[in-house]
Amino acid sequence: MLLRLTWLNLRRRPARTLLTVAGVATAAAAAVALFAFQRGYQRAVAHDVADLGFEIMVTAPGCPYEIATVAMTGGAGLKYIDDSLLDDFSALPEVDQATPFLLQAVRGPADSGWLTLVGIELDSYRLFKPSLRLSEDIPGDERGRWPEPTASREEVVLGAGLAEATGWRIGEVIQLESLPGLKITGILAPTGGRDDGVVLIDWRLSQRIFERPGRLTGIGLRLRSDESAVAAFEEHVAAMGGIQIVDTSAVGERVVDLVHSTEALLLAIASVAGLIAALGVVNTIWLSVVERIPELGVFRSLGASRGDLFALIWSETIVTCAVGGCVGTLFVLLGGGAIEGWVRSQVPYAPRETLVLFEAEWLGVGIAGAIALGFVGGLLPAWRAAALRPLDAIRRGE
Amino acid sequence: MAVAIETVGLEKRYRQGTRTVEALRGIDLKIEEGEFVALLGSSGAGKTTLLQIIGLLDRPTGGTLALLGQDVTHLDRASATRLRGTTVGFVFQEFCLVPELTALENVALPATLRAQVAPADPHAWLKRVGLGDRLHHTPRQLSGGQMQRVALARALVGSPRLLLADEPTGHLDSETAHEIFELLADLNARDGLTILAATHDAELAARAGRQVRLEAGQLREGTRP
Repeated sequence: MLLRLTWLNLRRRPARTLLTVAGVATAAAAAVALFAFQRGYQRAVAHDVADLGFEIMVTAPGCPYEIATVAMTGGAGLKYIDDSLLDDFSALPEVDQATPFLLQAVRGPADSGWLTLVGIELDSYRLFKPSLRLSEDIPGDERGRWPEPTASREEVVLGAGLAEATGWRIGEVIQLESLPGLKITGILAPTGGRDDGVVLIDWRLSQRIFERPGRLTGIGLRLRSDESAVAAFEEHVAAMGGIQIVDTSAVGERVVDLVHSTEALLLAIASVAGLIAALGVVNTIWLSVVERIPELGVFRSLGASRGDLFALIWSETIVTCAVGGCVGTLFVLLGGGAIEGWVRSQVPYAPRETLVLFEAEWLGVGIAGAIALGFVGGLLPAWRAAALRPLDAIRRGE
Repeated sequence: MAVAIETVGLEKRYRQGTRTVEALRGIDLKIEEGEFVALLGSSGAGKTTLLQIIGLLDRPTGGTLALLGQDVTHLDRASATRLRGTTVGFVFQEFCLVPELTALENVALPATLRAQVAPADPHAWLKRVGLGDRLHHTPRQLSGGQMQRVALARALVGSPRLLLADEPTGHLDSETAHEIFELLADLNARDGLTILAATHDAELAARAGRQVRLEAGQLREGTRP
């Protein structure tokens, strides 16, 4: 009954109540979207870094973030290292695995944009990505095979997403720009990462058809796990010139750090929205109390204590904010796609995975935060109602 | 018979701008349990002030007040609220019903607001005031007299021993006003409810068992019909 009374009181001024709820909903939506983005982005960047498979990349000198971004998202490198470095690094005792890669980009068919051809040494590449396999589940296609590891046979494997987007099938020979025809020998099972959208090609073949003899975009490395390996590696690298060492996990952390600076701005916006919503709530409920002073006076005459009136007004505030919190959270859930699109256009590096990750705990935090707003915002009007002297209150109605 | 209300030398002064208003000047009033007393007086005579002090909504500035044998002159607010909730029922000139609630819900309001009070039977009280067929009507669907009956049921639902009515017929036509006073008289006669009802209508006051008159804050004992 008390809740019904609360609900009826809020319905007395529906437009005002709706505007207040909208204010709270906006603040809750901002907070939930912010946290969903923070979690989603961190997870997506971590996934991209893990998908790369390398702990360390050896590249030509340049911006390490640009290099890491090209490696994670695809594209062509502008600078190269000499492929003889592969033998040098493979020979280092602290290096556990090493694999070369040569990134090249060509125009895709029709308006499909740029295609990235990732030149790899299949055997060593698969050591970094043991989960990489050919799809066994392509209707109408024969079971594929990996390309022959040689520069002389023009064979490639397609990422699952690329195959789906282009409709290219196993056995088909594709013609890209002025390159020789490339026969598709297999299609990768979906990875959820970069490999879904690229063409994998033998690195020596890539060197030949792109006329980059002896060149590599980089070398992916994995060090041995003992503690002395890093120190020994640093010592060896210091003696080498003309290369750059990129720690991929550090790059991932830096990208997340860069986004954190945006997050501070978003947090400030969410805080301002919360403050405005709180003031709106206080204003609305305060007005409601002032309008009902005679009625509240009668309630006191009926035996309602100060605490009873406090509880009544407080519950109105909390219900308003709880409804606002639920509406805001629901709005974010339903509008997740639009938020994702907007965020992608704003961040400096957008991983492939979804950037806005809704977790139950943060959805709960959005609603709980709105209720907390009601707890705090309701104090002043509730105190005002509780402090009314019955006599004065009733006289206001005379 | 026990004394329900007793005031001795009751005074109320308050400031109004630069001057002091003496609303009540040494009121000595004794009302026994089960009495129905009409408080007569013109506007500004102090009727409302006296009722509000007796109903523990205000405090006197002088004299003493006892309800049901208990000196309540200096009760703290919390105790006054408790005593008012269990002992006193109020009816005002304005009906002060919650417009969105039905008659039944309005009558249940005191129990809703005071969780500590045992739930009364609002249904029975609405029947008692003649609104058994209007339980689910909202105030907008009721006449003035019916709204005042709902307010009366609301005042009585907590089973108070005193009913204080401040111009309960002020907004009603003559016929309806008589019906309300008949109802008060019936409640007094059948339920033994102690009633103090303020009115400026001498004809209505004649329905009460006793009349007292307030003039410029001073009490003139009236008649017993």
